[in-house]
Amino acid sequence: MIKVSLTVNGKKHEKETAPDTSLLDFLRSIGVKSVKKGCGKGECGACGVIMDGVYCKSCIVLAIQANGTEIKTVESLGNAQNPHPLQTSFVDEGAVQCGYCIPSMLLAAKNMLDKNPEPDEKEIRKSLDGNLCRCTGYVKQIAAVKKAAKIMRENKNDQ
Amino acid sequence: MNKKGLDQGKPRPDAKAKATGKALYVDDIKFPRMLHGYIFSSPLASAKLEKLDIAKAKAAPGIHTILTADNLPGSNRIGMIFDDEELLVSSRVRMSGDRLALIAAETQLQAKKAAELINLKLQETPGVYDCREALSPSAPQIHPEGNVFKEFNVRRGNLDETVLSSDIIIEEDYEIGGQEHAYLETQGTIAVPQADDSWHIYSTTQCPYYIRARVSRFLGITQNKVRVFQTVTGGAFGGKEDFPDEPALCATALAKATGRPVKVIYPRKYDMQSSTKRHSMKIKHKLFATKQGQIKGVKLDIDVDAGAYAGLSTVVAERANISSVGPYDIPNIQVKTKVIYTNNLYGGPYRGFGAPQVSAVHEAQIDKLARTVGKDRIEIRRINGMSAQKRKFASGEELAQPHLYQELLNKLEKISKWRTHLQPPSRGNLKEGIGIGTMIYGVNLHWGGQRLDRGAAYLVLLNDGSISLAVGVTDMGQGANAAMRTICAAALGISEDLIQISEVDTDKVPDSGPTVASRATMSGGRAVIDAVNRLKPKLDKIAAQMLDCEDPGQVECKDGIYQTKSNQTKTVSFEKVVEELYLRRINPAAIGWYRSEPRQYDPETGQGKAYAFYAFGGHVTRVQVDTDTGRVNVLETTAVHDVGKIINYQGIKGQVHGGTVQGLGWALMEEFKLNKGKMMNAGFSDYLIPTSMDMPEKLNMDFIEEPQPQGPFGAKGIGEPSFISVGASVISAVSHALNQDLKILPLTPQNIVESIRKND
Ligand code: FES
Ligand code: FES
Repeated sequence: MIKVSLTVNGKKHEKETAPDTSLLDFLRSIGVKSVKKGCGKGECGACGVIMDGVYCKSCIVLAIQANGTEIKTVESLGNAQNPHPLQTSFVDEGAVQCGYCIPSMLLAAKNMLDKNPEPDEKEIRKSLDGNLCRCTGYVKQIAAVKKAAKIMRENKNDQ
Repeated sequence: MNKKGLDQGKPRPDAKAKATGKALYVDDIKFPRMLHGYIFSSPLASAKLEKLDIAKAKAAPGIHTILTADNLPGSNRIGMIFDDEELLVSSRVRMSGDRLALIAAETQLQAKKAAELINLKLQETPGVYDCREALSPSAPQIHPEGNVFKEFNVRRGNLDETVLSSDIIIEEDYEIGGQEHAYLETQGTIAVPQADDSWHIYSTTQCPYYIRARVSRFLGITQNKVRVFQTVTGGAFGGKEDFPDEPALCATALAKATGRPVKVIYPRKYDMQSSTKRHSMKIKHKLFATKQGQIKGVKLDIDVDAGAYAGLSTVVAERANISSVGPYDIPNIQVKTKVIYTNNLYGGPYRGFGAPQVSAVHEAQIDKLARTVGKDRIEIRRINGMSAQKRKFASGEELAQPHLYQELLNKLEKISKWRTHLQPPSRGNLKEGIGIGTMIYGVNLHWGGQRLDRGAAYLVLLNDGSISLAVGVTDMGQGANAAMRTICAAALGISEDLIQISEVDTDKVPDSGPTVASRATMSGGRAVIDAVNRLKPKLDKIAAQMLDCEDPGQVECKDGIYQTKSNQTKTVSFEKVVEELYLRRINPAAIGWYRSEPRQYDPETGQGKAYAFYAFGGHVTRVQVDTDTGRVNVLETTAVHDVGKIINYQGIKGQVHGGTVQGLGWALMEEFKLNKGKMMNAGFSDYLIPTSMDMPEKLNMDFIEEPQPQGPFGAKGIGEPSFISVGASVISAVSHALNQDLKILPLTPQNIVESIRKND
């Protein structure tokens, strides 16, 4: 057993775990349930988190590799009372069906928008390429990211 | 026409929780003292179990129990329609992934490690992995009943005379592949034994009532001792119809043995390697027509590879059988459908229920007829398709809205700009093509399953005017709950915000049958309306009195405000009326019920009334094929559906988008690599499903809204129709691009390159 300590959405967590535990399993074991497991092999993209500012699939990162890092999950974007523009547009555009892919997809989109606030359709598609969704056909998700990008730009200009 | 649907333009009720990470799926739920279950399964598909020694594994750390066929605390014989399966193999393995032992441990990892200590010896036996080979008398028999365990027929008219007098005969053999559901959330259950000997089962499922029945049978207890909670379900597409019963039984067995809650979550690989699939089918189609392109008869032989266990294959085959003639009124028909055991993974329900496979075939054949007689592919469908004059479905019944097929063709032609794409550019190895696929879909369950064609809704008016609604149909991600909320709000004339609805709890509403066959809107919606109809007269009566109006028939509720039709100045709010209902102590709750009209049908001939009613649908797809690599790039799709009435505009668009892209996956990329019945590409890096980069640039869609009197507000259903004709349109488009007839799905690069080579 080894001790892993990290910060999740600003809150510190510390726990003993087996050395081969993935970051995904570790996060879920400390009660972070918004990070989903769809494959455990880095193939589906349901388990995305932002680790020290970099989007990654938490199932193929070892918990120990994440020791001392700062993890952000979908909760860091916003909540029901105070949602992030991405969350609002996903909800309003009908981009959410079963929802299993959504938390991670939101993070992937956020990660892209942080670097590229004005993406074209191709860039949006590309940013979601690693996030499988079996329900929606991606159409509304692409539209939602486009819409959120616009809102975020406007919000910035207002400031 | 109201293009916006019946809904109030609000996001679906569950979207916010899902987008903020708050929705709890089955693996997100835990109970005190909960153990983790693990399934130890067979790597071989056909074998004799010689040794299964669990002694060492049992002694491993954290292990609470290991169950085999010898110490299973429940009945080992299981099955949906035929009891041809064992929960745990006692002696003969018939399918790769067959369960051999169940392990309960403190952690998942401990269970997995213990499984490695099981001493297993299997003696491989000869298996059969092709449904046509399984027909041979010398083929290994999978079950004592023989490999063909069910046949279905359609017989209409007289094919012999047709054969003699036909100018044109087109005979082809098609090979249509299966498909993995690939729901993003894998199968899973938690079984929680209760202090009073009853059970709570939490499951990701589209059919909680199936689970209730099978768990109670397994344990030998009455159904009122089993309460199933459907958890937020991460996609299903048919894959969570009957299959979730298996994880549920595994978790229940382990919980029974240990007396503790047990969670079983399928790892992706095992999920893919053991769960049901879309059936692969081999279909011989013979078409008889005149020189003018008038179809006089069809003869089909449909061989359905059911895999090692019957599951619901007969039900799927029944739909394939009757749908195989397509949306054409053909006077002479002979269809024989065989449902065949093999040692492959077993087939099950999957969006379209056997209809996509046969649609691909009847459409490829009519395309070929068009080419043979020199007619446009849409024109040939106009001639043979249903219309005000040609009203008869394969079952011989006259349809109520056959003319909608012609409208469908018109819309498809116009929106896709069909004519402008008929002579597409071709640059070197890049060839473009356009194709069409159409279909007819019997909404709800086939005659053979009509006993299950029912639905219930429980509606309670609370004294603050809000509403608690429970419906027996499940939301598996498709948005059924949003549709139920819309229908309830529209029937009462109130805001959707007043209605609370969530996943199914089997104790709340009576068994509503399975949520399949695109029947959620129809059967759930009708039940909701029935519940409203039981309460509304009471409310109207009170409202009339409060509005000093003598005739309750003269009041109406709109946007939550009651007024009389004549005097619109006086109003009373819906909330106030409900408050008054409570003051008068009038029953504020109602159970609504729906059942389809009983139908007559002769299974020997396939003649009679097969379904409650029908919907048409079609796709036009444009592709670019690289003849060097065989890669197909989808440029554009156009979908048109006859939906009766749009309930949720956003929801229906989502279904069409999802159905189309899933259909493109099936048609172009999703292929099983089976080695002696074992799925070798079980994982998303080898079994490829569409990503955001694979979807076409443009997905057009339109709807035909001519209300169907039996549906709620005239609605039909969209879940399955959205998928069915995609494959057909892809075959049609690729065939057009390559100027050759393709007879195989999926059209993977390899299959295309091979077809081109064969054609040269
Ligand atoms: S669970 Fe991590 S990529 Fe699938
Ligand atoms: S919404 Fe179901 S997988 Fe994306």
